[in-house]
Amino acid sequence: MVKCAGEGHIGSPMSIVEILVALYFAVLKVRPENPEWADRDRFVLSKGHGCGALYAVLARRGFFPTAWLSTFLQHDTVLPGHPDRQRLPGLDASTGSLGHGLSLAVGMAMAARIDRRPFRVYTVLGDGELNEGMIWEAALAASHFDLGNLVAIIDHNGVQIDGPTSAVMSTDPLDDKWRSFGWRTIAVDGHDVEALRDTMASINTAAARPTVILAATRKAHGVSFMEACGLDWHYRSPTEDEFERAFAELAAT
Amino acid sequence: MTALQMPAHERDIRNAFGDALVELGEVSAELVVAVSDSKLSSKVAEFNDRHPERVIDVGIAEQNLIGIAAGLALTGKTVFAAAIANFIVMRAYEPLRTLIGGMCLNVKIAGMSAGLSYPYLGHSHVCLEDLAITRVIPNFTVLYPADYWDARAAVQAAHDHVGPVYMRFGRQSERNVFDESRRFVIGKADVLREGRDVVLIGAGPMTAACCDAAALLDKAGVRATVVNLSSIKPLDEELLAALAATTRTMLTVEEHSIIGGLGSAVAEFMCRRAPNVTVIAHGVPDCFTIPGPRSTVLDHYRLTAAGVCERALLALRRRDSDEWA
Repeated sequence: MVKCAGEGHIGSPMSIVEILVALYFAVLKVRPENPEWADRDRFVLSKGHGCGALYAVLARRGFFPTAWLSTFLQHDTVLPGHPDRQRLPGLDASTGSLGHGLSLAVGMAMAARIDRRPFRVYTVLGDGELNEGMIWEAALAASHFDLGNLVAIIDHNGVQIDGPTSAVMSTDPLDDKWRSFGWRTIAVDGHDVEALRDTMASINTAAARPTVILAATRKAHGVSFMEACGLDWHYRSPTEDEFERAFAELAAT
Repeated sequence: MTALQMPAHERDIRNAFGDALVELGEVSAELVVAVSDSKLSSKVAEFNDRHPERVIDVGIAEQNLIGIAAGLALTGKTVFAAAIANFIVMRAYEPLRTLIGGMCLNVKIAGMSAGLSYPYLGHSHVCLEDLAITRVIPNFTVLYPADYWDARAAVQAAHDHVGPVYMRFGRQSERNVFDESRRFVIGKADVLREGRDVVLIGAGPMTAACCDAAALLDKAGVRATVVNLSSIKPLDEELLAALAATTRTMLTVEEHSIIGGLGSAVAEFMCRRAPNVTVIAHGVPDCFTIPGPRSTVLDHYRLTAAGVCERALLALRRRDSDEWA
């Protein structure tokens, strides 16, 4: 998609592919043929720039034809560089401006609470995104309101645009921070689909506390030469040669 | 009638918000109220007593307030979110624009104590920019009711409208322009009296000031039309076009910056449809306002009946002598 468009975020989607595969193929109760089903589980991709992976997963899950993927970033596309609910079926929210997603998820989880409906709300946050103050406002609210039906997954790849997250704006120790905000924390390998699935299946969403999964990930994961310098691959389209090498490596795994 | 002759309850326009919500709460099961430590200042205590499960107080965190309101709306709720205008609009502006506007969500924002409601608190609490920055967001409807009864009807209209609405609550004027029978129609302005010399267009508490100014103008032999323009967006273009056909001088009067508010909205329309009409924006000049009591600060910026009258007479004199007004 990024190769076709000649533009786009690529390292971020590669960082969250396994998380999204686990969610959409093993965890979320959704009906691709009826994307607005009232009791579906909700998903918010707070780090909207990771949408390349979300689009691919939604297409594979049957929300829309895979042929649409070639329109990524094209004129008047349903697949812009940040997800737009007004354009694409299967999205529970439009995102792109960092920091919004957790508040959206809190609102959705509260609506479930008010109506005594059974659905759960999942959101994927970037670790760089945690610099945004609005995230911590929402983190306070989620535990204050006892939103056990809310699960946040942090794509903890340790890199943001200006460098390592520890150098730009430290947020470690993340587990202590979230625990002190009243959340249950679980660490997991963010590239292990089975571990992600089992972790999410083990969460008791009837409990009072919201859960955060700290998913250890690597930017541009899956292609060795890209992963080796993940920061360079935040926003970049591969050359012909890079594309061939990456594709060959992915095909071999 | 002076303020003291009004029923006590109607002396605070914010009560119109709470009272309308109590009424709507009985008929609309999906209605939810969201506040940021602003339950009391938004007058929703009675709604809270009746429906505590439908009031969400997020604490002093306006960005989160708007994000949560968006999440609730995405899940089928009609959300009324209320706080002091500066903070709910400006602190949370980007989520307001991107989430509420961008997804065209059913969220109704009430900005309380806008304009020069309490200038003695200093300019951190003086909100003179909200009409400008809400009106520019696509999908948003922007309302600025004139008095208690107009506001009460506006809340009902906002509820019935599908999509985002910003409701600006200023201070209650010394008398109500409308009464219990008021019905609010989004996109419709009201002609309160007619005269051929000049059109005074008011919104919020300045509508009452325009009525009083028209009476002063009468004494000077000038006949004014007075329009209440509560629906800032969409504008009543039909009415404005009809007025432009008969009267070439219009004065807009608002407790808002002269940049971007009611005056700009009317002037933008006249530029397109009737460029021969002179629109004079009478409001707060481009400055951070001086502190002080509401009455003296309004007088300082000539946002009084006498101030409006003077400005209208000046405009007519300049028109006749071909000077720039």
